[in-house]
Amino acid sequence: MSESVIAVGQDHFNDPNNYSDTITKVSNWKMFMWLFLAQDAMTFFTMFAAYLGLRISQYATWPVPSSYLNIPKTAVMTFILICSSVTMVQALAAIQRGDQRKLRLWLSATVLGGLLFLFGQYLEYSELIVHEHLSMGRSLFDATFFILTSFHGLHVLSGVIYLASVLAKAGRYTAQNYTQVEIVGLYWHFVDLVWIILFTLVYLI
Amino acid sequence: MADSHAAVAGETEHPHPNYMAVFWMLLALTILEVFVVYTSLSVAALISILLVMAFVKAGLVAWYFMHLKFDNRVLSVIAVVPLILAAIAVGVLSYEYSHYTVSDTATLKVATEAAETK
Repeated sequence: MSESVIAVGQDHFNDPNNYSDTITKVSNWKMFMWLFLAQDAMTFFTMFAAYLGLRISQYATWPVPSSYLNIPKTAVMTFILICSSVTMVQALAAIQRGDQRKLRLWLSATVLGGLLFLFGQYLEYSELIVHEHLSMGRSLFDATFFILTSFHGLHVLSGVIYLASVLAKAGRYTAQNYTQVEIVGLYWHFVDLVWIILFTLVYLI
Repeated sequence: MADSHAAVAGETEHPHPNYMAVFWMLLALTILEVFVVYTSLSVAALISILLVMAFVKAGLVAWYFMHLKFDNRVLSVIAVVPLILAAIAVGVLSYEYSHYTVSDTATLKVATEAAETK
């Protein structure tokens, strides 16, 4: 991107190149999203810490996750989320070239990925609750599983709504004004990143 | 997929990584993770390998997809600080719980069951 873009008025805050008036030289929008993600990461990791602590305390009786959880199906869900991260970066790359049509296309694909993931989680929960009789009150294994995955699922749901709101306003964004697309991307990749850790800690180990 | 290749080829003016290469790496690691679970490795080896792979994947996402590589370093600092705090939390809690005796764990179970019956 050219460094010579001079923004005035309302676009001032949306201009990704105008970092000069913040102490950190990072746009306020991006800084805010990163700080939000930092606190969200701490929330998730505190839950992971509690989960690992509880699991260690019941090491002898803790079930092998794969005895209840369907690893191959969840791996497909992981694949869907990784794909939606790729469509997200393509959406950002598209608007950085000023291509609004591709931005809409890739953002729609990202929303679809999120919806597919949520549908997969719905199928998984149905199977676990109806057939395996898992429930919050039955064991710490069940409780930690539902708390961690549903908290993440809620993030995916919020992400889908957030992405859809950016998609609805796709007409506003240009090659000079794409910060909102960039920060929805940051959120979405974070949701993917958390899932990568969660998949390992809850399903694989 | 033709679109994605065109997109990668057409963005030479941006300092962007080859997103598809990152995607293939993430995919390969995911397949490897699932494969490793079904091998007969020892628990310690399995956990170590899986954790390393998870953090490599998370790192790839943060470094390339979230553009930390190309952004101001202050953002990397913001990203890393929670990880340090999290590592302390995981370490302390794991240490604490690993020192529960059997009866303590039993107490914990009783407490859990009491909560269940409510």
